[in-house]
Amino acid sequence: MIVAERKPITEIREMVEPHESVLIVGCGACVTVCMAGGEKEAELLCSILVLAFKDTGKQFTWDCVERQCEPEFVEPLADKIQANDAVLSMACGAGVQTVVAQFPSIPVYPALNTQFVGRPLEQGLWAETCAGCGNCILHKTGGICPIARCSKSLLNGPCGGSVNGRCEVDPENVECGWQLIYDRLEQAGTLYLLDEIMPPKDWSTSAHGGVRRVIREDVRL
Amino acid sequence: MGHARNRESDGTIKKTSMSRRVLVVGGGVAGIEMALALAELRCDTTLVEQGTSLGGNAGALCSLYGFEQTPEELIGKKVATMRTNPGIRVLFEAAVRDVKGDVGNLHVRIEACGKVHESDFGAIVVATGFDLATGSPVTSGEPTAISCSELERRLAQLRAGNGRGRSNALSVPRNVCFVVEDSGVDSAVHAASALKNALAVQKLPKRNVFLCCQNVNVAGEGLEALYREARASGVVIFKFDGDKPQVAAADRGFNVTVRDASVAANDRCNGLMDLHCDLLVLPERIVPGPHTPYLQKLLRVDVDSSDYFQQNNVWLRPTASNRKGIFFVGGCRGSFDVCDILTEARATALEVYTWIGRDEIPVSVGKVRVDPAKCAVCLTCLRSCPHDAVEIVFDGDIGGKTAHIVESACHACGICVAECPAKAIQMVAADDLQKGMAIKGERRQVEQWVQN
Amino acid sequence: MGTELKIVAFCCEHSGSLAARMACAGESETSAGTEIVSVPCSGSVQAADILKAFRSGADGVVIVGCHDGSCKHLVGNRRVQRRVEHLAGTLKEIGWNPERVAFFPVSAVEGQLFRDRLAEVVDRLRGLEAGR
Repeated sequence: MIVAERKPITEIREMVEPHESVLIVGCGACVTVCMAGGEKEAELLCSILVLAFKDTGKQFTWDCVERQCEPEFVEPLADKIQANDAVLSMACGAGVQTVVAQFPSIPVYPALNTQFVGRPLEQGLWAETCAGCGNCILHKTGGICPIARCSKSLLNGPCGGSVNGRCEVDPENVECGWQLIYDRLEQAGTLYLLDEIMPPKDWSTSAHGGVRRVIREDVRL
Repeated sequence: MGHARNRESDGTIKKTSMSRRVLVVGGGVAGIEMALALAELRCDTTLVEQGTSLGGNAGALCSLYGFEQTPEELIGKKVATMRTNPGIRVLFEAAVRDVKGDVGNLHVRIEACGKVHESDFGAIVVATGFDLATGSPVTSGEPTAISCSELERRLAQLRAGNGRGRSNALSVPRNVCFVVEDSGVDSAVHAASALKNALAVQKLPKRNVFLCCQNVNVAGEGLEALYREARASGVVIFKFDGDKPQVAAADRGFNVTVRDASVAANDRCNGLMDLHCDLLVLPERIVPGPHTPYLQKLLRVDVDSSDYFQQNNVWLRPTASNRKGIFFVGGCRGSFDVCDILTEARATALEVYTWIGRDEIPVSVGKVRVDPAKCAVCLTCLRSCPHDAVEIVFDGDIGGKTAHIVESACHACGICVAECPAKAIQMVAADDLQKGMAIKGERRQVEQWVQN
Repeated sequence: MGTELKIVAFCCEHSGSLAARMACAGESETSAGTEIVSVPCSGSVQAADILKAFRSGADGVVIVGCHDGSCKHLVGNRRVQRRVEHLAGTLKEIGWNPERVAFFPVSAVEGQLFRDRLAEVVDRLRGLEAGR
């Protein structure tokens, strides 16, 4: 799922400083699960800002929608939004932009930094696992993504900085992705998959290739 | 001071069926005694043992202080009784693979010798014991110090061979020295084991036994008498304080230099004593059994700071756990003395018997509720619940999955309420509104004081 | 001596509340401005509750739970301590002194300890500048 993190309060304060009444909007999807922008976090941020701007007369209220990237869920906020000077969105980038698209005349601020597509390793710890490159090769690398989990996104094995299974970029926290791939393929008895040399990647299908779209003609109304 | 009460019990009794079967995990003395005691109470008992025979740690000992019989005889007799009892089923080379289900009907999957056994149990008693870990060697190369376990093996061999032959002198030579450091939680067991073995060696002809210990911990049944007997038989006991005895290999044996605290206090000299011994014995450390972490995860229970099952929480009865129907007996919960274990097993058997005899499990219905519409199924509540009272189920009303509180297991602690990122869980009698009201109520009072 | 300081004390019903009740016996000596909110477990106290207390005018918030290893729900006291630590960082960011929130453990019979700890909190709060 999408993993995001709340911006530092100091940064959020600066954003809302020029406004007198701000509506904080949470999202019930990914950011709820990664504890960044769900109902609980929205309520909490509201209280934090009330205390931060105590005695200034600024008004802070909060709400939360099912999924902020769907116009149908954002639309019903119309009255509340019109009653405020600004919106502080606690959704991922997609949610923030949906609110802007629905309500173009009100300033919308992102309260989160959207980080990556990832999964929980344990409660409270999420790691990046998918880089959204648009051309998945997980079947060739034992189910471990070399784009997302190798610091250099190498395609044909580790670099010289792989020591004891750790990545030289941050040995304490980062495992060498290619070590993981090798170990997994060895365990599965499919090391022969590494015999195939992968050519230089065509990055046009990834974020580097420009703005992407996915279309399903058969489900369009 | 103002008081804001946040909880009212709204208990309605819910009937839950109870399986009358009991599962005992582990075939050491704790498990054996449990099975026997339960059988006497006519409980249908299944005992699973990972190995091919019963007896565990105690079965490997040469002797048990406080018992006339050898461990082999004692356990042998108990096992024989077990075999004749149709109410006890024993599975060897067995492992518990999965535990699911609700309180009173814990559905357990067991694998034994390649076959799978699945059953519902009303109670599970964990008796998986402890493990022994040898410390690092005190001297490099030969000769090496031996552990108490090794000494017990040699003593048992001698007893079996009636002490004849030259192997006698080699395996348990004339001058034997024990060094026992204070190890905290299990120091009584080490002291007892050392005293017992020191006495056993001293009783062999022409032996000289020294015992250097930091703390002669006799806090256990019969240990005071054991200590007196050991001294009376000629075991020389030194008590050191702080400075550990220095050990060096010398003369095909060891040189032990120990500072006895009382000699140092009474004498002008520094109390240092040099001993030469042919054999040095060091007790092993007692550590939690290897299955403890695995079972902890499987049963969703807690271990304490020493990594034994829940032994020191003031709210839990000694052998019960926070999960109804799950009990811990013996070494796995930090109880190492065989006498204590046998008593504990019998007492726990009565508790288990009382528990599975119930027809109803009192349950407060509706204390804690998940709103399926808000639930993001993020699994946070399932992971944070200390009582394993959360399950993920399909909800017909919303047409999707939701977290659901299992009422019979729920203790209404409110931890899930606090952790839920979607605020989807409410505690009926302690919700945010009430907490909010409590705080608002006092505000009026504060304003009054400020005015005055 | 009464005090104008307002403290909200979230007290675990198994330990804190009972200790508080015991401490109440000598009411005149205790801080009259302390509101006791009884909770089923200290682990049920959220950051939002603490901030609500501040919003309602509290100068300080204490959470009173069980000693380590003695939580009836095994982990409640540890969970709330983690939350308090995290909240301390947030309070600093908005210019509030993180010492305004504290956790301390008592057992059900430690009425005197409850009173002593509370007195320490009151002293500490008095030392801080008013308002922040």
